[in-house]
Amino acid sequence: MIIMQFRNISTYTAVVFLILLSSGCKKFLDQVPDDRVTIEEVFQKKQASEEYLANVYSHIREQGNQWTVNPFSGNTDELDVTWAKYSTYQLNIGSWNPTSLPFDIWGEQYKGIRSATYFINHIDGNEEILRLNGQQRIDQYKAEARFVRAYCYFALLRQYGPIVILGNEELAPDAPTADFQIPRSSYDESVEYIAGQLDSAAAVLPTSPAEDRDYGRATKGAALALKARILLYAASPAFNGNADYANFKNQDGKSLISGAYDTEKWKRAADANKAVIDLNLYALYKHASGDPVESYRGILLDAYNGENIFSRRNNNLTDWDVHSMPRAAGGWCGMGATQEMVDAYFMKDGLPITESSLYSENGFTDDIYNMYVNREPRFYASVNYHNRMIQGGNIITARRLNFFNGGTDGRYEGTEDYSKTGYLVWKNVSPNTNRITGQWYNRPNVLIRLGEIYLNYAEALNEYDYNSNQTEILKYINLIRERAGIPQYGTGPDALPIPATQSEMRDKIRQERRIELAFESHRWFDIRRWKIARDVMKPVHGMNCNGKDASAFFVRTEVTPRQWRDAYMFYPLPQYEIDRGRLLVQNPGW
Amino acid sequence: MIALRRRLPLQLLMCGILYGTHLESKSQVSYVSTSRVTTSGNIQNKSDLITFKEMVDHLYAQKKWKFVWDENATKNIRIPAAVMQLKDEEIIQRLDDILRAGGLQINKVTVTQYAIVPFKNKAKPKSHPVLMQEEIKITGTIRDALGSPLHGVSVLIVGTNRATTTNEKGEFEIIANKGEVMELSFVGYITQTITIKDRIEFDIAMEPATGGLNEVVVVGYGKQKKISQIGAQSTVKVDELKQPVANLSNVLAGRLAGLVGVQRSGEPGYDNASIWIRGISTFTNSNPLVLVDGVERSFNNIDPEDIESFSILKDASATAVYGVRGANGVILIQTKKGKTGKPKVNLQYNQGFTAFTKMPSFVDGPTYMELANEAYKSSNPASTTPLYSEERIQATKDGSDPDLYPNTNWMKEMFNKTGENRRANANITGGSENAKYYLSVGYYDEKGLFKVDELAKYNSSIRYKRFNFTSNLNLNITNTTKLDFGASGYIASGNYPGTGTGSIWDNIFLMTPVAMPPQYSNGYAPVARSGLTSPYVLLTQTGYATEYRNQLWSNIRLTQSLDFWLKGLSATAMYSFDAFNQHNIGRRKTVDGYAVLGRDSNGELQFEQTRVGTNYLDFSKGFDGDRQFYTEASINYVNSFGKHDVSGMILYNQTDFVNARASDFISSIPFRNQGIAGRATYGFDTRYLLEANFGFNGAENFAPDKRYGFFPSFGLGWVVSNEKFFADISKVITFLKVRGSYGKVGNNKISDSYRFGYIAQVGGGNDGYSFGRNNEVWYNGRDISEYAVDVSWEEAAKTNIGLELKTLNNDLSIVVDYFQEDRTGIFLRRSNVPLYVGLRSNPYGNLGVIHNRGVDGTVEYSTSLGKNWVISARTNFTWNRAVIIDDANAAWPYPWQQRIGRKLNQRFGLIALGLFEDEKDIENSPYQTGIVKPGDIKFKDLNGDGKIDSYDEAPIGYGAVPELVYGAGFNISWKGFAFGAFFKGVGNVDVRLNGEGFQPFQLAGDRGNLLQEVTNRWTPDNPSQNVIYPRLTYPSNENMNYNNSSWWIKNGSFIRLQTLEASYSLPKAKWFDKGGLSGLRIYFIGYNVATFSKFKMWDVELGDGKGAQYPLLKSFNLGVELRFK
Repeated sequence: MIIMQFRNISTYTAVVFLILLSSGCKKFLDQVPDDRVTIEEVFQKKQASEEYLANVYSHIREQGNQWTVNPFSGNTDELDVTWAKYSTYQLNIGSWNPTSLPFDIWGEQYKGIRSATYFINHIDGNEEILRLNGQQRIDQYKAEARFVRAYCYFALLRQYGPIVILGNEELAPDAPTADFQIPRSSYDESVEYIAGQLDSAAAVLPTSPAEDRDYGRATKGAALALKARILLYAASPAFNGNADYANFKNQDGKSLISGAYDTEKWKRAADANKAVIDLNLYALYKHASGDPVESYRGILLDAYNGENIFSRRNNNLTDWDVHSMPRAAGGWCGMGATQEMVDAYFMKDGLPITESSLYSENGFTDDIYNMYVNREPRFYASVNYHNRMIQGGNIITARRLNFFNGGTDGRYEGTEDYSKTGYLVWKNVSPNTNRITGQWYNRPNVLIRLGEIYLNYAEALNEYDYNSNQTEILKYINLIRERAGIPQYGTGPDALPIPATQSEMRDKIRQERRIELAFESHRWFDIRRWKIARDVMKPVHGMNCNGKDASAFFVRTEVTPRQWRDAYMFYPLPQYEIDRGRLLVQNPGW
Repeated sequence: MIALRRRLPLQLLMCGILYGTHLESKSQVSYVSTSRVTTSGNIQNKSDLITFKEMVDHLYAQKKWKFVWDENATKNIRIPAAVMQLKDEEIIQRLDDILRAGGLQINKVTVTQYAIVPFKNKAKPKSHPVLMQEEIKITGTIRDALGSPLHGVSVLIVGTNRATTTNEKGEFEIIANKGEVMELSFVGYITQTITIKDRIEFDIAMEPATGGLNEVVVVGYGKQKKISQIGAQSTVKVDELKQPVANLSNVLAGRLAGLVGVQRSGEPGYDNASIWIRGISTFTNSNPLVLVDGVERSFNNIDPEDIESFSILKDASATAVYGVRGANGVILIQTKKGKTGKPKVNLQYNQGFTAFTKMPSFVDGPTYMELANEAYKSSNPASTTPLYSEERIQATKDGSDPDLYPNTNWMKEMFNKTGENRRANANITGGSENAKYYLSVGYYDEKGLFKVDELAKYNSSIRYKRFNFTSNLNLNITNTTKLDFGASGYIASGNYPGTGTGSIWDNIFLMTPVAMPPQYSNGYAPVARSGLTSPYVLLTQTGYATEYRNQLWSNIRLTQSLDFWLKGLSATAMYSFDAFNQHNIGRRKTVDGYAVLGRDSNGELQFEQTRVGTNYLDFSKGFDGDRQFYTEASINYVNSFGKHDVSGMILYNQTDFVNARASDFISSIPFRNQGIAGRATYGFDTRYLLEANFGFNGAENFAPDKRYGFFPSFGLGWVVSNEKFFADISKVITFLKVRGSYGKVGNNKISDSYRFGYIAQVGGGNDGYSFGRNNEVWYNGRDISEYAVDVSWEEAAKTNIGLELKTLNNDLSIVVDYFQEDRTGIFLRRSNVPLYVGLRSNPYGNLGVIHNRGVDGTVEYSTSLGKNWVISARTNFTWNRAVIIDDANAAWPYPWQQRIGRKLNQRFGLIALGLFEDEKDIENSPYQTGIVKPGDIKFKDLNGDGKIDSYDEAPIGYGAVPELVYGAGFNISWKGFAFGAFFKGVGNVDVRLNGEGFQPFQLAGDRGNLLQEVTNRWTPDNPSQNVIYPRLTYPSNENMNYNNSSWWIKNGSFIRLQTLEASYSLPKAKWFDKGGLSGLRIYFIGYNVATFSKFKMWDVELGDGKGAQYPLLKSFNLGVELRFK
């Protein structure tokens, strides 16, 4: 009886509580306000949409930081990043694998790709942009996003090999795992896809920035130039008739890199590069003074000059300045040009050191080691060496650099901030950056420039058919050499003989490219596509940084290792990805 | 009146046997068990009743007392066995009381001879005849601590023959005069006395005697008798918490079965330990719910002096009422309440000094340079130039020019040998039945061990001060209405150097002994070109920061008895308001920095300025704060019907917590939860116990249709020792209870950063980007940052089986619990999505599953030896292992890499086989990257691919959180002297060594100190395998030596003598009265006195890394406690 009563009461109370809970109190937990920014609203507003597009652009990787962001110079024979704490060292001693992968950009670039796709699929009908700028602006933005997406795909393709192509729809985040499974496309399919995307972007993009505020946006030229580079890569020996990858197949047996050689790939590459040249929008940069050193330095230091096809406005170049500058100038003194790179520069007669009579490794001229005397202007524009007079950074009045052990810029007890090669990079290092006073010379990071296109074009034509294109090839090589201030092949003052064979020409083009594009993140890819990495990736040398005087210092000395295994041809896909993308195959050798 | 008196012994008897359950008919007297006194006169069960004869036997055996008595007249009299433990005079007094209720009295013949004679009222007529005339009729109800009426309580007007007992409803009626004293006594309860004034109606709660079977424990949203409790919970004696530490959390590990705790820093004001109940069972928030006086609050800054009870709730039966908040266990803390009586004042003060338990030590300058040369030579065998020249090493040894050739012992430069702490507390308690109070003020002050520059114009010392106050008032507004009011809080202020201590410690580990002096001789501040600054400069010349925190807690509770509607029914409502504020003010600066270049021809030091300082103090500030409203209303029912004990509770509550200084939109949204909780218990004959609990509640962070969850639990208990068949065994095993529970509890605190899983969030994306010829247009980035998903709380299904046992005359008690828990729906990012999908972040989901199991238990022993010795000991332990069942991740390539099926937070790494012995050994071993030479660590190639890489990483060691935590302590007292010690220990834990300063020459030569242990290394001259460090290299990352491997995992178990206490209570002396003193005690406490561990590099409890944290402190305190009447 009493129990009954108790039950009644508790039931009654429970009912009261439940009523309380379900009516007024339900709102108690309704805490999130409705008018937050949602992704839908982002695409209703102009500023927000442009911010979204900026986020897409931000996936274009800058190349100023060569120690923790890009290994493409420091992991080659042109540059030695002196500090073992940075991951370039890990690559150089071969301490990398799919689970411990410095400089891995796989996931990050795919985020850019997804965001670009999302932008393309959602920007249509943005009322504010329509009202202010019309449909044309929306189309332009879509084409820009398409360009960036292609750029990201290309960044993946050149580093990892055949890519996963996702197409025009983004995958739902909560889809079942099975829906995420996509195999890699073959190298050629990847190239076709990216080139096709760039074509459709180029068709819409403006030829040049409409206003000052649009500098840095993708243009038609940028899209065509990127396509030209991709097609050159695709025609190169590593991807054109390379039998090494016969067993590199998807799980279903699909071959990922074709072993068939197709000479027409070179033709296509040449045409694509020519198409950029034919836009007639760009010209090689030359300094008003006509000084070839200034001209060459200005290419990268003089913002938005006529040679610049595509660049990244915000970047780490001032950091690059600081890392490259001598200690005396307040720099970290650690971007060491290698002896291999120093040796690669021509003499002022336009010949390599092995052929030129001007070259000597004995004696000094005006306190300068003769190795550095009579070199071509690009050497002086690019490399700092012992006893060079220099001004910049915190060196207000020009003074000589001292790379000897104990010298102002050399090895010094208690600091790791010294170049182990006895050289420092000077190319693209702005003297106007001064860490001590906190002065930073910001400038765009040039990612594609006309000089490269000329070299691409010459290379492709030479490989396609040297004999019938000799004039055209020489024209563009000579344009580069003319600006560099060195004698040309078969023309001009002190003309050098015209290379007789395709193979000779190939060597000339490759050395020209190595010099002209040094420290611009090309070397890593060039030695791979040319299939010369095995020979190149040997321990790099420098002068003996332990030497306290000239006789001890000016001795070629092995500095740091460069490991090579055939697997290094491509970056491995991260193990994380292999474990999740179950249709993916790992790159050969990993 | 006479009839009533006759019935009395019987009543006493009946109630006594049944421990608070009540007989329906008198015929059940036959339940009286026979002799509980052995021939030697020992009493088995202190809370039982014994017959008069048994008593006489006992007293003769123990004290040689002889009695003259009439067996017939006393045959119905039963005496609580507990009385036998009292002092001699008190025994006589209590016997007299009991006998008087039966119409008898005790007369003393000699000290050892007594006579029992019929009661004669010898009380002389009171000298206040006026009072005599004010005879009034007093009525009242007496309840137990749970509010249940007590039947059979003896009510006596002292010094008269007026006595009665309470009826079944707990009611009594008695005639008394003003000024007379009414005494209430009942077996198992503390006897209460009340002076009669004007009041004629009483509602009195009896307080159970500790250790007895009526003892009441605090449970979720209420109290329960300990005997009928089914939920697994542990309590700690409050006295054990009174240690000379600022932070209560530091002393808990090892003192409560089921509690796992580690303390990772000793920095004043930031030294709270991490605490988990029964280990960690989830990937997300694993902090237990902490309730102080029923409200969710942090307990770190409570003065232990103010704590009445501290318990942890462990299983589902105990925690289901907290529903979605209870899965990680619950800590319940009650603050002290007032006690009836004259004001009692207690004063305490102690002061001591502190020191680091263990400091890492570094090699000196010359050794550093020699080791650097050795490493450099080892890595650059071709180099002819050593890293440091002979001359330089010699000059450093000489100390001839410390500016150029410093040899700095940073530890010595930075730290004092000792610091100080002191603690004071004053409290007062007292009151009448209608108004009781407890007031307390506490003070804690700790001075850290950092040095101070005497010349600085400001104070950068490290110091933490705190004032606490607590006040609790309990008022009876009417006979049936009670009001409790509590307000407490603290004010704390901290003073710190301008550079954070973390950063200072880090810099000590980065700075080599030869890099720079603490300061140049001309007072210049040493700053390397790399920006690395002398830690001494960071400590003394970067200004200072002050921190101020205050907190106020208040709660008001109204309880209304609804007996008039239904007996045993009551309703209560509570409201609390808490506020917390903190502000930090930094007055910081940097000084000009210099690096020495050398000496010029005149011998003057040449400097290069490496930094331009601000040189004057700057100002910065920060705020933090929050406030919380909590409301609770409940209806409670408790009653007994014969052998049936029934209780029920239904409760509504809601919390509204606002982060008043939120820094972003999401955290500015109030944190709320709301729900109802219910409990029903049923006990039959105190043998069979049944309990059902539920929580139905929700939180604001889930989608509207997924907000509320129902969390039920069930428990069963069986008091075996109350069974008839157990009667014989009960001579040995006096008490035995088994209990089991199963239920579900939830955890809604699934993510600190991502509260609203059901809403997509827009964030900054990857980055912004800029355009424009002159860099004029900068766009911030924008993108989805989190995808919306349908998420809910995580759920824990918990099973608990417990056993409670008492033996050796109740001297030994054992409680053991086995538990297991399946935590499902753990909020995790879905990690099986390929990166090429391009998700900005992996979406969350209720995806993880963890299985946790373990055992915890407590063993207590307490006994008296002879008259003066009391010895007690206590130990408890916790072991648990949580295993991952699902972590929403893709499978790993090799079986040894799998996380599924392995311990939560299992460490993984390469397996070290030893050090390479020679070149041949290297050749014959799998390929390891880098430059490998003899003396380097040799690893195991698990997948047999001929090279060592991450695929060879397998489980190594245990993890950073111990699986086994135990504690053991004892106390011995003799007369006024007491001595005690407590050890705490952990096991199944390890320390992983890594980090710059631990790893020699990691980044650059001017960075990275060398620990003393580096001297224990492999060298060609000492090609030992039994070393700490392998071959030294320069740089140390030129090979795989410092990869995460079993080589660097060290046993982290330890035993710590955490407290050592000695005290002396002065015997009562005449001068006490003059000062109003009733007691005086002086004591000594040693805290963290000694640590025993195989690990020697730093205080092992700091855990992984390189030991670069503010170490734990030991302290030695002397104190005095004064009690005033």
